[in-house]
Amino acid sequence: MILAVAGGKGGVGKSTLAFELGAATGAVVVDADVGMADLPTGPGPDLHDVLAGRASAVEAVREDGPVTLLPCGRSLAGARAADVGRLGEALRDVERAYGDAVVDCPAGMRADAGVPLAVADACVVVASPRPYALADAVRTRELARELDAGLVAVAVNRAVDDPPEAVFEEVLGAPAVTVPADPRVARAVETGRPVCRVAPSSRAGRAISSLARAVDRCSRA
Amino acid sequence: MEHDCTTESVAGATLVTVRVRNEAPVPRRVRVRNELPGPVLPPRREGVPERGWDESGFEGVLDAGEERALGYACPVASEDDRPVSVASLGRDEAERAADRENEAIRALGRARPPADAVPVPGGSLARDSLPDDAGGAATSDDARRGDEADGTHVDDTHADEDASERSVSEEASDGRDRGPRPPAVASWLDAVETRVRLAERLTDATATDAAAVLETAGDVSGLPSTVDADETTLRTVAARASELADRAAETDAGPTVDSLVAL
Repeated sequence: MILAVAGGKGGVGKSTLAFELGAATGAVVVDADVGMADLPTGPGPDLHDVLAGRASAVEAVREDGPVTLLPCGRSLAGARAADVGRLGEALRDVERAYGDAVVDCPAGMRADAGVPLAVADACVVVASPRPYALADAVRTRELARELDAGLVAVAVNRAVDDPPEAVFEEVLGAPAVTVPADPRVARAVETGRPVCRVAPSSRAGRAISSLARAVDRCSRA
Repeated sequence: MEHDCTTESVAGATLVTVRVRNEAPVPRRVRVRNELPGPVLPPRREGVPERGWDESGFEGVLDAGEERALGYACPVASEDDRPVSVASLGRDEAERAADRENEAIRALGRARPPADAVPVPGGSLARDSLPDDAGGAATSDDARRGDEADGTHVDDTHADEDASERSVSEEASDGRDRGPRPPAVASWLDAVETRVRLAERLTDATATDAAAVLETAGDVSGLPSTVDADETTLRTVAARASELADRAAETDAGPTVDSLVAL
């Protein structure tokens, strides 16, 4: 299954949750933020090379990190040469070779955010527990609906107090999972220690597991 | 399925316009196939061909009584009076499931950095403000249009050459047959011609004319000295060229070469 982790606004924690979901489900995490990648990369081919036709998607996957990852390059020239029209084929190649893929989508509403949703079987919309973030989550949800990516769950990320889950569920029409603010989650990508593995019983760890179970139920259905 | 078709030849390419009418009282699927000896360049949005177009032509569903206008380009010059073949593929109710990925790209637009923003190794983004390349306007236009898969494309011209200036240079180059010229010489001559034309327009110009030139050409402060230098170079080249032409005319290597080849 290809799962898109989307959300209109930048900085709501899409990459972090995609990383955690990859760790929790064993899926390959694809950093599809072609313009502003933020998951760790290293030497070797990356998504820019794949989208420019210089490498195959499967050879760009790194299996040596804490999470199996297809990273993305960070150069402007690479972003310019990348043809987002190749993204669908790349994601399907990864899915064929590894079974599941979690796609970290870029912010915004351009084609680089739309194509992963068009390819994906389902999506998780990440929202921040603030009123202004809800509007972006709604727009992303609409886009996902138009492009036929079913909404598995809404992740209300970095919640400090109890956010109004019911409001999110009613507006977006999918179960909401609150992921409490936890500095370990924020650092997980950097330290390479996903919270769902190093602190599975923490509130954040439990929230991520419940998100992963929702994804799992959806992929079996 | 009725159709009529017109073609127009522009700069070595053929523009084909087809009007297809479904005169039947039911929706029908139609296939329009290119018969010209070249590839189909379909209409594109965001670099992705419009729905229904592929390498060989167009396929789509026309409602009962619908007339649809289609157009594409083919990079061959052709006088063929039957550039397309139109075939009905029978009754069909609806368009087949759309390709969602391409639909997303068409509808949402690509998000890639503009070519001007991408640094190129050893290249400079700032250029001389004098238009020095007559063909350049088209190049920069192409780059803006979102060139396909060509990430290394270097936008090497200034954007402030606008359509009016371009049309002037096109008129002039179309109007005269200048015989065969090597590409490097041709582009140099074109560049010089652009500058000379600019200088001509500014010679004894009224304030209105001068303002119009300034609007299109930007900074012209270096123009007089550049045109002076152009004159010197042109005269030197002309002298050298006619000298070489005279020497070429006096040669007669034919008999010797023939006997060498016969050996």
